[in-house]
Amino acid sequence: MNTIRENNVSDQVLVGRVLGGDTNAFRLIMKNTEGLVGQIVFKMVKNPADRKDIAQDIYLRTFQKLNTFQFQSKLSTWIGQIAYNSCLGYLEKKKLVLLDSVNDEEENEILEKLNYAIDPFVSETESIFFKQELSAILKIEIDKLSPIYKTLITLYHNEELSYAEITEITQLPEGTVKSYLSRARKLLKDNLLLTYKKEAL
Amino acid sequence: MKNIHLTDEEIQRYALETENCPKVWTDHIQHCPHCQQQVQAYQLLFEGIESQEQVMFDFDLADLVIEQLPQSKPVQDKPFVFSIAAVVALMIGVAGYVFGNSLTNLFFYLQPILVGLVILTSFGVMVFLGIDMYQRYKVQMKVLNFY
Repeated sequence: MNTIRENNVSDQVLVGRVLGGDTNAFRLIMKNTEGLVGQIVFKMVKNPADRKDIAQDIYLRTFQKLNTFQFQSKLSTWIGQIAYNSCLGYLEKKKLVLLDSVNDEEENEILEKLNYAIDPFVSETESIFFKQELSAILKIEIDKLSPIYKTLITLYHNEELSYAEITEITQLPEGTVKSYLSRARKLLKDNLLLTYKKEAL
Repeated sequence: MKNIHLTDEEIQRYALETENCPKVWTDHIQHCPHCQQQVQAYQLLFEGIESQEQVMFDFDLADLVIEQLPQSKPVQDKPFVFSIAAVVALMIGVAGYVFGNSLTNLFFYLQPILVGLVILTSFGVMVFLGIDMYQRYKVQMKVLNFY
């Protein structure tokens, strides 16, 4: 509770300084939120040149709208929401799909294969090997996920945001966020096991 | 104890927050190798996700954005500005009191052509400054209204 109040106070101070014409305060806001914005942009936009443009647009838009910020959430969450909406706009403009639906047939196929999969966690050696390879394989597997799944996984597991904060950023109902996250994790786990099995064979 | 396997969502929740899960789940998992394996798979997955490198832009985003922002007005020290204004007002008042008559006479003795020249020059400078200010305003608005 105290942390929230402290965040709010420091947000108010920073926003006040920016509105008073202090661009260094805006630089500080950018430094504080660049990690979160980066995670969203990297997960939703593949093209590096587009990422650069979108990242700039996000902060220019933030600057333009800063006087409308009502302090009903953390400033970082509000900027995260702008970042998410900007990326969403980009995906719509490029006619890219936010969420690839995995059809049941495909899902069943994965599960069927998994039934025959070698148990990758039985032996300790295998487990150690798996851990070593996990990070590299996982990076590829996360990249294969839909933009929304990638973003949700990152916001929850890497940025350690709460469901409420993710809901605020994405403007999705909390139930949908939970359901998408659950599906994303399952898909990731299944794909990871399949990849691992292929590599082990 | 729960005899059927835990659902995937229950397994995920158990892997994320073991201590907050119902006892029936814990009891089941302790006796079910299949569910234990699933939990372990998810725990490894979460560990793997959390160990992913933090992404970073390969350019200085702050510099790029700041240079596109409209120039900030210098923050002025209000008491200082007020004291300067007071001094100027005092000087004008003293000058008016001491040289009042001479100043009034100055305008009567000046040639009309000279007065016209002063007015015309002042007007010209004001128009020039006004146009310059409007052009700068348009450039700044163009930067901001990119959507």
